[in-house]
Amino acid sequence: MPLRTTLIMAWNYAVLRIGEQIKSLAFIILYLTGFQIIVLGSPPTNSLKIAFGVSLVIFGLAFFLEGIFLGLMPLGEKVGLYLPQRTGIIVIVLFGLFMGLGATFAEPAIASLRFAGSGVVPWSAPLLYRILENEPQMLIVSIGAGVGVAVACGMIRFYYGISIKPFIFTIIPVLLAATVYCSLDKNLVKILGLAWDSGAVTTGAVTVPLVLALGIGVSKAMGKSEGASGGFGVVMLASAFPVLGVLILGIVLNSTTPYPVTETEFFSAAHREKALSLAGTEEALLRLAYTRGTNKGRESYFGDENEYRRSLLTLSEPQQKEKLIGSMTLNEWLINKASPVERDIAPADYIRNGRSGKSGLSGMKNIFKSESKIAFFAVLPLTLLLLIVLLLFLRVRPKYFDEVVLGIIFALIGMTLLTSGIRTGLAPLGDEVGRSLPRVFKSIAREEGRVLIEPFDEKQVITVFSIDGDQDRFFYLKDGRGNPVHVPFIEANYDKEKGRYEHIVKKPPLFGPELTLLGIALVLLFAFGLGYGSTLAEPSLTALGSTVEELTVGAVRKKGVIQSVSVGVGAGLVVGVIWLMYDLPTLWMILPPYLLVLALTYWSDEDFSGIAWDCGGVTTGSVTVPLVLAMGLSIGGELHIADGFGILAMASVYPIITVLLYGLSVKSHQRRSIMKISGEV
Amino acid sequence: MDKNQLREFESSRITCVIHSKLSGLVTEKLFSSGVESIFIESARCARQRILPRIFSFPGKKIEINDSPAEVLSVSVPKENRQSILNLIIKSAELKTPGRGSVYAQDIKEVSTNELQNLTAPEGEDVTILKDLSFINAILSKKGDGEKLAALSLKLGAGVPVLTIGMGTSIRDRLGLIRITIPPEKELIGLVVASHDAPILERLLIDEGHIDRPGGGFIYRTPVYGGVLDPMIRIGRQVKAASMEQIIAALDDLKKGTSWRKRFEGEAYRLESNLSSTPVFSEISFICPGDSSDPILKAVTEEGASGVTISYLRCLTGETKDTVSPARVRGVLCVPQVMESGMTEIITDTALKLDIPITVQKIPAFGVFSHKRYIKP
Repeated sequence: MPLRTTLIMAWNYAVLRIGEQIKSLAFIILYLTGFQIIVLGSPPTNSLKIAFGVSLVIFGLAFFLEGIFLGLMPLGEKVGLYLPQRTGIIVIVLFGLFMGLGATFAEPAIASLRFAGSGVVPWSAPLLYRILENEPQMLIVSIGAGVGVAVACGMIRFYYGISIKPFIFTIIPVLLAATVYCSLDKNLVKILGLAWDSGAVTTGAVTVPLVLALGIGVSKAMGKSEGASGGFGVVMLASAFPVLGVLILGIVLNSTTPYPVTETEFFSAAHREKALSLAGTEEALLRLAYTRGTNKGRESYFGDENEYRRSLLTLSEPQQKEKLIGSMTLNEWLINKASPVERDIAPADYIRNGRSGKSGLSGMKNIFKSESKIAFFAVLPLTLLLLIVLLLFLRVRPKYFDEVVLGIIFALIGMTLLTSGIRTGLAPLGDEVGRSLPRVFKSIAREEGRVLIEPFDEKQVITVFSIDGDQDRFFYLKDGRGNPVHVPFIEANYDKEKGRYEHIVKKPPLFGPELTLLGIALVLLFAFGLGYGSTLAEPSLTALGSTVEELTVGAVRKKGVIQSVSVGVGAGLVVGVIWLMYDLPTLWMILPPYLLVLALTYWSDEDFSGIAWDCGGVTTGSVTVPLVLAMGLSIGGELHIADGFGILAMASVYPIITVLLYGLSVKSHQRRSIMKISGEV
Repeated sequence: MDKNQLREFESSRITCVIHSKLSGLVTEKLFSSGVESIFIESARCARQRILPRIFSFPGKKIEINDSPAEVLSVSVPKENRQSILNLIIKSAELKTPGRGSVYAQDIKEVSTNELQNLTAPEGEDVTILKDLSFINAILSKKGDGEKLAALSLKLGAGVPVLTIGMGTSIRDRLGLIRITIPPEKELIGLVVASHDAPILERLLIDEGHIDRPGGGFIYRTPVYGGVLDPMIRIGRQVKAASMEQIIAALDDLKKGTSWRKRFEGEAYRLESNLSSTPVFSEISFICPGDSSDPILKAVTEEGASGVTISYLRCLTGETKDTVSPARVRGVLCVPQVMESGMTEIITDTALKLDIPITVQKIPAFGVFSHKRYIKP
């Protein structure tokens, strides 16, 4: 073929694929920037870096999806097709177990969980802290075992053509019963969010298409009477079993974990032995007091006032600072953790510029390096396992082997670009909006930073009078652009002796000092849009949607599935945010939707049950998780809730409801075409 | 496998398109009558759905409604053709509009399996429509099927059946740049009265842009007879009988569809090759899902311009079967002069590699690809 024709073909192909991704990302980008500019009234910082990150996400999605469709899915399907023909059920089950375990180790879902639990404190949630901080390996193994058992069960289901419904009606009630049991224990109740979230995040961008394709292959090879539903259900099982795994881990560890106490009690000398069992060393305990505790905890730790003061003063020494507050800057610690009294004692380290943070494209090299390593581990071990099984054990060569290799390379490039883009573009954008979001519903001004004005001349302070004779004092300060800004003068912040004034930069609440319905409505609207928009761009959902459309020969549309899942995730986030804002019990957030889902599943077709439950598993992927967690943590942090767990579980269950409802509506339309049947349908 | 085991014989291919929820009913009856294997392909049927306009504005809104269907296909001895049709029509109540359709095509088959005489229950023969044609359109671009389905519904031609296939051969010759061409094809099957078939085919060519490069491929094969699903519209019925029921009753009374012949005055516009003289053959081969590649390679090397493959499931009466039910059906259209040569290539490759194979052949006419009518 002439080079010119080849280039034209390649160009048209690339334009089409990239165009599709621009369309899928357009909503979330416009929504986030629009929300920030119009509602929050502050333009995004580092626009160039964000734009670069977003373009990386677009290219990453295009490459990754093409890689999935060219390489990973045909490979998975081929293995699934040949395994039952050349081996027995025992080998298939073992392969499923191995693959599930491998998928969990390969995809860094656990990183998201640790990120969500970065604010967990060992006094109020000792068991949760222990699992996340002290026993992460056990957490990974229990999640991995859950995924492994799930894939193995899925293979058994396809091999024997068992309906998905008995699995759903067995495992979900067991999980709900375990949840009720755990909610009765002071320690176990705290891990419920983690358990349900771990179910949601385990099924990553590489695992979902591979497991889905594998299931379709086995189902094609074995399924006698299965119609469109063949191949679905493993993702659902891979979301459910890890929940059980984590709950069992919690129950086992609970007997040797201390119960929750108050912060003062936790750091007291009397409780030291139990505290050390969680923190490990004295040094780690002290760091906990500084990084996660409040002044009460630190006072209780030292017991003696003088020692406590001495320790605060050592924060000026870089080595000691590193020991006490880790990688946090002193300024961050003073703003976020220190009490007003501590701020007076601790040495000042104020920022002269209101805004901190690096701009431009610096650090991109490091991001690419670390993300390519993650992509490498996520893509290669699993695909190599499949390739080895296919080529060496099953002795089958894929028809288009070059396409498969190209697909794997595309998936690697795509995943690196996608995750780097999310880190540099999408996540900072979401994070920026998320951090400003509490202003919408919060009733008090938020402290954003401190500026030290030195030397300060009190004579320049201007006094204004009201008609009642009340006095207010203010002075003018140059902002970053050199324009004078009116700043109220607060006597307490002025140090006469040293001649300096400490100005606390505050952002006023957006809707006045009272908690307004409009503010809450805006937060909920934001949550809905964030969930909806990020899910539209989720690559595993695109893969699932295409598979559904293909298997149903278009009777169920990809667009319909993606839209209903996205609406479900949006609705789930709304409920999740309400849960965070009003601190509702976890049990009551999980139990009702799952009971509703069980009822809907009972009424639904076999086809849609498998599809809908799988949709619940795929929603929380590489695009959604960072954005959702950024929002959840910022709202949670503002409301003094230690962790952002549970919100992802909500983003998992509500799509099941919406897809089942979509299925029931499709079914009612389709029924009309055979309405005159006496009763078989 | 020995070459002597392969036999060529005449048979009747019965195809039943039915809502996926009803397929179990039909397969059960077929197995009870002695059918050994049934090939099943997932499909969807498109129908018009009539909706009232929002706020009761005058007029009606018409949208396309898809329902999941399955295409069941069995080979039976010619003498059992009518009795199996009777069995399917009665068991699935296909005389009621909206339940599905069934039709029989007389074919030549090459296979190792000899067809056994079947034991369908005796009874009065159901009136079937004769003088029908099956229009098969293979469209290169996914999504083009929608337009064609909408057109055939608009013309009242029948309920189109859409399936998905994969194109091979031409794409394979391009090297890695083939990834820029999606292999998926959309297949539209439509059974219509023979007298209207050429004109309908012409309209489908125009509407589906099959006359453009890369547009696709269309042809017709003869149908012995069958029962068609006239329910092209769903929605609220305001009369005691729908128009579809009245048409079906008249078809029964007139014992055919010639009374509703149309497009008479337009026949002169037809190109000679769209007429009903068969100069081509449709060859389809069915083999296990994992062994189609060497056969595809062999037919391509022999000169077949393109093969469209579909994925089927093969159900057998056995409750416990160790053989995988996954099957691939490859369909190609070749000039009749090449028919025997191509059949030999397919069977020889299968024999060499010990692949169980079934080859079915049927005359094809009105074979059309982009810009020209294919001349043998």
